[in-house]
Amino acid sequence: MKKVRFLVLGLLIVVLALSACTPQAAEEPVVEEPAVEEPVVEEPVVEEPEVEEVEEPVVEETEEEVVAEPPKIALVPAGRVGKEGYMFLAGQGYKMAAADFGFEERILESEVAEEWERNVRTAAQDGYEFIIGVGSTMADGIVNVSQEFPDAKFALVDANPGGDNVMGLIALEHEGSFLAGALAAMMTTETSLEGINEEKIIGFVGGMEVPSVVRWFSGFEQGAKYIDPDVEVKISYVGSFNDPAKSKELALAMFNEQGVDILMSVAGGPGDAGVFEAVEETGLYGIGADISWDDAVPGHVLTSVLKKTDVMIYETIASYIAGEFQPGEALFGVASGAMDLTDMSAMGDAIPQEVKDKIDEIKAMITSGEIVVERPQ
Amino acid sequence: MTEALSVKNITKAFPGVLANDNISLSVEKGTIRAIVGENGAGKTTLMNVIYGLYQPDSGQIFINGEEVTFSSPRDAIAQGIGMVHQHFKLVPSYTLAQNIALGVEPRKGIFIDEPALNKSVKAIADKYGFQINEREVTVDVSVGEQQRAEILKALYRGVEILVLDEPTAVLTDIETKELFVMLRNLVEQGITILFISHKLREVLEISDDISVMRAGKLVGTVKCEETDECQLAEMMVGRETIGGRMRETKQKGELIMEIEGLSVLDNRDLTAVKDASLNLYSGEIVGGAGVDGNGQEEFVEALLGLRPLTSGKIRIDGKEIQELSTREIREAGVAYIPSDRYRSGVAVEGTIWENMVPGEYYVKPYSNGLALAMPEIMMMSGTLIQKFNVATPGLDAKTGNLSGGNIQRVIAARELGLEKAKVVIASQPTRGIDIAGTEAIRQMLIDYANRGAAVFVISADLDEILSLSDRVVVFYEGNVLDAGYYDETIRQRISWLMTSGKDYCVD
Amino acid sequence: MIKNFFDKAKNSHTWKENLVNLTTQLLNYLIILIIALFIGAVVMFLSGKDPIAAYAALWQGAFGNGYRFADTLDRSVIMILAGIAGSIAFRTNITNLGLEGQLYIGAFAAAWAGFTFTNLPAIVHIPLCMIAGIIGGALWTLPVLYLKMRWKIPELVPTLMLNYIAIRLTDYLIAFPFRDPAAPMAGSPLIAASAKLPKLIKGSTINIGFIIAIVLIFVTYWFLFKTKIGYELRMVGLNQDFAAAAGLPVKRSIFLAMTLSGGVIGLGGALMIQGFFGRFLGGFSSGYGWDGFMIAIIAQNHPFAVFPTALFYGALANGALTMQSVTGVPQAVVAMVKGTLVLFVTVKVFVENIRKGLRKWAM
Repeated sequence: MKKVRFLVLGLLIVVLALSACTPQAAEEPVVEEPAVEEPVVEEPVVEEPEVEEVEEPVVEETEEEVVAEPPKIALVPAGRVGKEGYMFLAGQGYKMAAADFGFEERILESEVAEEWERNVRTAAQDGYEFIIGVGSTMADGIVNVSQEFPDAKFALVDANPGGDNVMGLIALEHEGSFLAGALAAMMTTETSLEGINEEKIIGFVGGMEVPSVVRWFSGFEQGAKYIDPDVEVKISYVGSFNDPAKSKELALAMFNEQGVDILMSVAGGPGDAGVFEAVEETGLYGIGADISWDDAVPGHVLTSVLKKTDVMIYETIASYIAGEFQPGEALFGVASGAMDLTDMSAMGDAIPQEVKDKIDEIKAMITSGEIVVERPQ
Repeated sequence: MTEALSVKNITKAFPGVLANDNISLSVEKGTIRAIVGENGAGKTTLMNVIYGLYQPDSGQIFINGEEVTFSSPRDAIAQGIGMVHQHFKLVPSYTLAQNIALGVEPRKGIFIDEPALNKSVKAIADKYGFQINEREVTVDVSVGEQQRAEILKALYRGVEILVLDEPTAVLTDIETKELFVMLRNLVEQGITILFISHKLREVLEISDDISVMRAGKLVGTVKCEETDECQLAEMMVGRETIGGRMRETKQKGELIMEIEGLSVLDNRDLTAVKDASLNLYSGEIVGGAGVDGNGQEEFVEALLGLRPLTSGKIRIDGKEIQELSTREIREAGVAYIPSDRYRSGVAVEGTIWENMVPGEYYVKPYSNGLALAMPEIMMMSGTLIQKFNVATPGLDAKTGNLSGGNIQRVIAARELGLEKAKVVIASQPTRGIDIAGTEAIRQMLIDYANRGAAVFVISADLDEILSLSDRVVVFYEGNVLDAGYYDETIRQRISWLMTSGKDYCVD
Repeated sequence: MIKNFFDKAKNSHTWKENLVNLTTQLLNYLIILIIALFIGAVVMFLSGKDPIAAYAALWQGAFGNGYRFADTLDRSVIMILAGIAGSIAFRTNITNLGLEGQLYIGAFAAAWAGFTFTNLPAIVHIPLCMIAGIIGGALWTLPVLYLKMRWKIPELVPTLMLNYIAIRLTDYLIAFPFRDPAAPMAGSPLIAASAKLPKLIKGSTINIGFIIAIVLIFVTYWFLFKTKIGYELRMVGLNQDFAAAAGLPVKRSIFLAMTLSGGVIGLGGALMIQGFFGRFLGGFSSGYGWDGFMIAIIAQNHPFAVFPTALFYGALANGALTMQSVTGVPQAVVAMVKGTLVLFVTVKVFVENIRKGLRKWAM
C-alpha cells in the first residue's frame, strides 16, 4: 500500500543520489550565470573609495586582447552586503574590481551561520578559482572547503585561517588607531575647545577583550604615548558588541567620573551607538572606528579610524590577477591606505591645522617605516 | 384557569424509532408540569418539538389557544417559549450578563452599551428574585449560577413558557433546593414551566401536574397531590410481562469477584459511588439496572483500575486487585465492554487487527519480546472476526468505517473470543445497535456465562436487563441496591428501586 | 517485510482502493505544491523579479550537478531526523513544540563529548558523541514530562518555553564555561577529528549522517508499525481512553514517545555538529526543529513520507541559496512557499476530517 510505494520511491531516490554523486570536479560547472544585465548596481553612491588612485595598470590594457576567459572570482560575505558598513565596503571593493578587471560578479550572501561554509563550498563547486570570504567568523568554513578544493585559492578578510591556498587579509587596526591616539593626545590639551579639560586623560571603550579589539587599543595607547608619555589612557570593556545601554553607561562614567574628555569607541555597531549617545549628552568628544561616525554627533566626533575593506579586497584581487597570490597573512596598514582617518571635515576648523599636519607627518613616518607600531599578541 | 400551551396528536419518528406517538397534552398557565419517563421514552424529543428544534411529522401546537408552527427555536422564542438544555450553551469567556443578553444586547450606535446591558440584566434578575453576579466571567462561576444565567437568558427574551431539560442532573442537593425556590417564584409571576426529569422525588416536590411517558407514548397525566412514587414508577416502567427473555435462570457457581464497600469520586470530586458491595458468581449473569448517571460508569471504571477508589476492596478468586494496574486486572481475568465504544471501546482510526490485539500483542506467540508476530496476530484476529461474524473488508480496514453493530462485535470478539476472562463487565453492550446485532451480542454474553464466567451487564435499558439477568442490582444515587433474583415481580421491584431507592411501596 | 506486506494486501481486497487513495493523495499534494509555487511566483513577479529564472536557479542550486545533489541530500539529513522526531510525538498524540530546544541541547551535548574526549578512536568517539546528543535531547523533554504527568499541564507551552531556555543556555555555555578563545565567533572548541563523521564524497558535505538518517527511517517504520512498543505508542496516540481501558501502558508510552522524539532530534543535532559544523555554534540552527514539525505534518507522520518531504525541504534550502545569489530573489520567498504548503496541507487534512465526520454523521 502507501507504505510500500514510499519505500520504493525512497530507495529509488537514494540509489539515484548515490550514483549521481561520483566526484566530477573535472566537469564543467553546469550552473549558468544569468548572463544578461547585471542586477543594477545603483546602490547609493557613497564616496568613491580612493582605490582609483591605487595602481590600475597592466591589467586594464591587456583586458581586451586577452579574450581568454575572465577569472572566476566570488565574494562570500558572512551575512549580507547591505547598504552601509564593513560588508558594504567589501562589496564595493569587489564590484569595483569586477568592473575594472572584467569578471562577472558573484556575491553569495547568507542569512544563518550554516550558510557561511555552504556558500564558500558552492562557489568552489561551481569552479570559482578565487573565493574571498569576509568576516573572521567564516574561518571554519574556509578551512574546511580549502582543504577539499586544493586547486582553488581562498582569501579571508580579518583572519588567517591557514592553509597552502589560503590568504588571511589582516587589517593593521593598531596602525590606524595609532593615528587616532596621537590626535586624541594632542587634542586633550586643546582647552580652547569647549569641554576639553586640563587633564591629560583620554579613554577607550572596547566591546570584548578579543584579539582585534586589543589591537585597536594597543595602537591607540601607543599613538597617545608617542605624542606625550604623560597622557593617561583609560579603558573599559563592555563584555558584548551588542549592548548600547551598557556601553553608554561606561562612556558616561569615564566622561563624568574619570576626567576623560576624548573617548574612542570600538564596541561593535550597536555598542558604538551607545557611546556616541553619551558623547552627545555630555557635549564631549568621541572617535569612531571601522566606519565613519563623524556625522553621528556633528562637531563632537574628532575623527574615525576607517578600516577600508574595499581597498583590501580590491588590492588582493588585483594582485591575484597579476599572478601574485601568496598564501599566508597579507597585512594592510596605513601604508596601503586600508587604514586611515577621515578628513575631519565634520569638525570644521576646531582641529588646528598644525595638529592635522602632525597627523599627516606621522602617517608618512609609518608608511616609510620610521615609526613601527607594535602589534600585540 | 387558562391554557398556556397544548399539543395535539404530535407524532415524530426517527429512522427505526417512533419517538413520539400521537401525543396530546395541555398545560395551564402559571403551573409547573413535570414530564417523566425512562431514558428514551421520548421526553426530550417532545420538548424539542415544542421548542422548534424538530418539526413534528404530524400534529399541532397551540399557544394561548392559537395554533403555531415553528421552523426554528427563534420562532419558538418569538412566541414566548424558551428552553434550558441539560448542557449549557454559554460562552465561557463572556460575563454572565453578556451571555444572558447575547444577540439582543442594548446598543449605542454600533457598539454594545455595556452599562445598559448590565443594568437590564440586573433588573430582570431582581424581578424574578435570582441571585446572580452578572459581571462575573462564566467559567469562574458555579454550575448552579450558570444554570440561573441560562434561565435568565430565556427570561431576558421575554418568554412565558420555560422548558427545563433535566435541570437537576448537574446540581448538588443545595443547588437543587435553591433552583426549586426560584422556579416557584417564576410560577407566581405567571411563567409556565415544563420540567423534564426522571427523579420522582423531585418531581413530586416541585410540580403541579405530572405527565408520564413510556416508549414514545403518553401514559397519562396525574395531579401531583393525587399520586405517589409507586404509581408513577409503575406508569413509567409498565406492568406487562416482558417477551424476549433469552435466559434460563441458572444455578450460580462459585464466587469469582467480590466487591466490598467500594467508594468512588466522579470527575468533579463528588461522591459517585457510596460503599457499594457486589458479588459475582461463576455462571451467573447479574444485571445492573438504573437510570444513567447514578454511578454506573464510575463503578465500572473503578473495577477496571481506571479510576481510583476512595475506599473498598475488590477481589478476584480471593486475591485483592484494587491496587493493580488495568493490565494486571485484565490479566487476572476481567473482560470489559465499555459503554461508549467510540470513546474507549476502539481506536476508530486504527485497523481491525490493531483493535483486536491490545490484550495479547505483548505475549507469546503474538510477540517475540520486541517485534509483533504479524502472522500469528493476523491469524488470531481473522479467526475471531469470522467467528463473531464481523462484516469487514479486511483486517487492514479502518475500524471507524464499520457500523456500530460491527464495531461492537469487534469488541466482543476481542474481549470474549479467546475465552480467557473469568469476569465480563459489559456496560450498555447494545446501546445504539440494530435488533439483529443486539440479539447477537446478548447471545454472546449468555453463551459466555454458560461456559462458567461471571457476567455483569450494566444497562439503562430495562428490557435488556430483564432479558439477560439471573439476578439484578440497581444503581440509585451511587448505591448498588439488590433487586434479587429474576421472577415475575422483578420488574416492579426494579422500577421502585430505580426511581425511589426502595424495593417496596407503601401506599 | 515487503513480500509479507503484499501478501496481506492481496488477501484483503482493499489494496486496489488503497492504490486509488494513494494516487489521489499524491495528486492532491502535487496540486498543493503547484499552488504554493505559483503563489511564490506571483509574489516574485509583483516585486519585479523573474520567477522562471528564480525557479530555474532554485533547481540548479538543488540538483544542478552531482555536488549539489549530494549537498541537498546532506541538508535533508537534519530535516529527516526532525521530521521523524515530530512524527513519533504526533503518532502518540503529543505536540512536541520543543524540537528546536532539544536540537540545541543535543547538539551541545554531542559537541561537548566531541571536544572533551580527545584520545578516543573514531569507532568509539563517533557513536559516543551521537549517544550524548540523544541523551541531551531526551533529557530536555523531562521537565515537560514532569509537568504533564504530575500536574496534567499540556505539553504545548512548556515545550515552547524550553526552546528559549535551551537557546539562551547554550549561548551562555559557549560564552563562558566552554568558550574557545581561539574561535572566530561565539562557539565551543572544535571537536576532535576522531568525532567527525567521515565524508561520503569529497567536495560535498554529505557524510555518513545521511546513511544514518536513511537507516533511521526504516528503523522508525519498523519500530512504529512492527514492534509492540510502537503499537502501544500508536494506540495511545489514536485513542488514549481506549488504550487505557485496554490496559496499555499509557503513561509509559507518553514518556517514551516524548523522550524518543527528543532523542531523535538530539541525534540530529549531533549529526550537524559532527558532520558539518565541527563545533557548537551559538544559534546554529535555522529553525530545523520547526521544519521538523512542519515536515511531520506534511508527511502525516509516516516515516516513508518524511523522506521525500525532507528531501524537498533540503532542496528548497539548498536551492534558495543559489537562487538568492544568482537572481537576487531573497530566500524569504522560499520560506513563503514552505508556509503556503503547510497551510494547504493542514487545510486539506482538516477538510478531509470534516468530510469524514459529515459522512459518519449522515450514516
